[in-house]
Amino acid sequence: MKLEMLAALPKLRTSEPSVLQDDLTRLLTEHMADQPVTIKGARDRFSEINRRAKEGYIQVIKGAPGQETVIVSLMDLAAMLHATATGVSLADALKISGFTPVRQKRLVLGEGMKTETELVLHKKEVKAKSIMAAGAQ
Amino acid sequence: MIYLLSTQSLLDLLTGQPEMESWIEDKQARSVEISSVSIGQVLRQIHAETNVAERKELESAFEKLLMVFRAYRGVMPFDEPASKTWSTLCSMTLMHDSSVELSSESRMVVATALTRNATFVDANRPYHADLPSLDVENP
Repeated sequence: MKLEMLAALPKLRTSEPSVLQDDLTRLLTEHMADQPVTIKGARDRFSEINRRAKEGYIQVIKGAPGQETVIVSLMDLAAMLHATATGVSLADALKISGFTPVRQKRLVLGEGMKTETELVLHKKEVKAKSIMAAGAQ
Repeated sequence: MIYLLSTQSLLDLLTGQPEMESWIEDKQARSVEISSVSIGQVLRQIHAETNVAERKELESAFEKLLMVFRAYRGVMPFDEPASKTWSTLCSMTLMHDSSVELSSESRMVVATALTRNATFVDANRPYHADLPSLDVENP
């Protein structure tokens, strides 16, 4: 299941069933990887549609507005309900995204403020060195 | 509650440091943010890696990490209020440790946390005591 879809679930408007249905339709349209199929198309290619749903790609069977059918794996349905009820932890979101930490070594951020004084002194030092070098020639 | 990761905390997440891995277990993805300035700091650190294979692995992992923060709209820009706060921070002596001052870029990250009233996720640093309005959580 796409992380963006799970992230958007808690933001769906749930005040009215019709509003929620509109938001869900919009969300599916934005995030679906596969195009909706007709009933005949679904019947002819059901094994493939079932496989894609199991792989995390939600399938929609066309119908009149509001009468479409959604095929989703039990695992994804559980993830959706869980995300809606409790949100997604950062740890779970990272797992879903396929992120794996790079465990070579700890990277330590270089700190150190370059103050105006330091910069002026550095400029003077460079200038003095160039004068000395010119004098030596 | 909103959390904003320090750049070092973000680097620790990238490299799977145990304290950060356990800290994120119970934090909602939508409640954790990073500063756009940290992205530049992390990339600069990655680009300094001399081993090409390690650098590429870090770049790829960091892109996936960013994808998650983007999905939850968790990348905070360095905006006008943050700039104003940063200008105040620049006039202060803020020590990163006993001998090194906090860099200008890191002050921008701290300024972003302050303007968003976010809890700053960072290891204990001397300068935290100089900023009483900065709420800090040590992972």
